[in-house]
Formats: sequence, structure tokens, C-alpha cells
Amino acid sequence: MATAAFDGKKAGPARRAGTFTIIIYAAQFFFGGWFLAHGLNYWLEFFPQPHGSSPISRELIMALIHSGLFDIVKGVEVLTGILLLLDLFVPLAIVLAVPVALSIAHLNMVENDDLFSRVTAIVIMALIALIAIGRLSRFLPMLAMRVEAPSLDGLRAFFSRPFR
Amino acid sequence: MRPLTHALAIIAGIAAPVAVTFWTTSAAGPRSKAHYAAVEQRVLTTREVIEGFEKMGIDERKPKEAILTYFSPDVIDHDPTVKGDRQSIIDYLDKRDWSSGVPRRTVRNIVVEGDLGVVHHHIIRKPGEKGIAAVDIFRVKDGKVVEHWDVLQPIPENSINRNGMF
Repeated sequence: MATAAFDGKKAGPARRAGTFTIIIYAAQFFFGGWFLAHGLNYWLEFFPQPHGSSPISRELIMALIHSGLFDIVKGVEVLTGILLLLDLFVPLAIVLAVPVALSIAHLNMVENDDLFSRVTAIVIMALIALIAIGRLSRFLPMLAMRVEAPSLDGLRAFFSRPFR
Repeated sequence: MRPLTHALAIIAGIAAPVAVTFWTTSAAGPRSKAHYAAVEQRVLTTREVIEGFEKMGIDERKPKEAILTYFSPDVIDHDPTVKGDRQSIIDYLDKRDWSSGVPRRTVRNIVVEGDLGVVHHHIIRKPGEKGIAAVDIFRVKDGKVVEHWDVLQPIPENSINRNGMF
């Protein structure tokens, strides 16, 4: 999984790749810890849990809570946090985390009106972008403009070797 | 990744954002209790602001705190007995003796339409007097009173009206 440079075995040109890997891992573990802590905080309340930093974000969060959707959002945060920290199913975790991260970024950037919120929005999108760039090869197949006709091949492959 | 490195990365990955969160939610942080209290106030409805002001200012006899809590620093007051800014309202209310059981107030009606709220009430400012039939009008924005008018009519000792003023 890790490069040789990350394991401290090589120097020279490989060090650049190692530095890149370390940066990506740092983003991944920080993001994973962030999502896990804030996801669990919804139920366990380690730290104060206010409902938004502006009237509109508060309205949205209250609507999510009252509709039960916030449990799903927080569940996704916990799940993706665990996956990123365990370094398992990272591409799947990224896909799951993007809608939540995008919502958090939008609320902080557009609805809240303070510097800390804007920094939060930029940081969260930068982190998810970094993690995704680090695993970009896993997402490149999705960028195919034209694909084959629908078939059961994928389903067969999934059940024959689901978790490689 | 080596197991030890991975374990340390997990610990650091959890500790770093948690530490940041504890700082941001501390009294010195940008997400302090004071910050969220301000947000909570900004979402108050016109009625909640007016009722909160009346409760704190009159019922709990804390007029200065009520003005500071519920009136915008830039409030415009049209009451002819004050200069019209927030400090002048505080000064006016501070001169009153709040220890003798008056002023006493009985709310008769509260009408709210959008950002405007109207309180129709009976105020007794001095012990033994019949008091005043009062109408206070408040304009509320972002959880704060931004403009205030009042119309006061002393209740006469003798009146030909059998219905009384309330």
C-alpha cells in the first residue's frame, strides 16, 4: 500500500513520490478523524453541538434533524471516517464523503458570513480533493465518455470477487 | 503502511481535528458559546424577541440587560422622552425605581405581522395610579429590535365609558 519512500527505504527521485504519499495520507487521516469525531459527536456530544452558525444553516440542520436525514448524514460521516482511518475502501469512502463535504462547504462558504467558516469550507474541499487525487487512478474509469452496453458482467465479477 | 505507523496515524488523525474542535469551541475560539448564543438570537421570531424583551425587562426587572440583549446597538427610538439611541433608553430606564413593585405591566394583546410587533398593554408606573393604556410598536431584524414607537394614553380618573379602556 505505502511507497518504499514512505517506509523510509529509498532516497532520491522516489522521495518526491513519498512526500506526495505522506501529504495524501495526512489529509486522509485528518479528514477521517474529523468525520469520525464529528459524526460520533452527534450522538455522544464530546463537545458543544450547536445547530449551525447562521440562521439559514440552523434552519437546514433543524430540518435535517426533524426529517431524520441528519442521522443518515452523521452515519455516513462515521462510516467514511472509519474507512479512511483504517485505509480501507478509500475510493468508496471518498464517494460517500463528497456530498457531505460539499454540503458542509456550501453552508460555510455561502450561508455563514465569517472568516472561520470560509476557511473551513476551503479546508474541507481541499482535503477531499487531495485524497481523491491520491487515488485518482481508481476514478479514471468513470471518465469514459462512451462505455459498453449494459450487461451482467459487473454483477458476476462483484459476486465472484467482491472485495479485492 | 507499517502497523505501528498506521496506528500512530490513526491516533494523530483523530487527535488533530478533535484538538482543533476543542479550541474552536472554547471561549477564545471562533465557535464559542457566545458565538452560538448570537446565532440563536438571530433566528428568534419577532414575537419571541418582543416577549423575551418584555419578560426580561419588566417581569424579571432587568431593563438594562433586556435592552442590551434585545435592542440593536443602532436602534432608532421615537419616544419623545429619550434622545432616541440605545444608551438614552438605558439611561431613561435606569432612573426609575424598580424596587417598589412598579412599573407593573399587564399585556392585553400582542399582534405580529412580519418584522413588526405591536404590544397593547396596561402600565402602572406609580403605586396607586390608574396607569396608562400603552401601545408599543417594535420593528425587529435578525433577532434585535431596530426601531421602536410608543403611544401612551393616561387612564382618566373619571370616564363616561362603561367598558373601561381594556
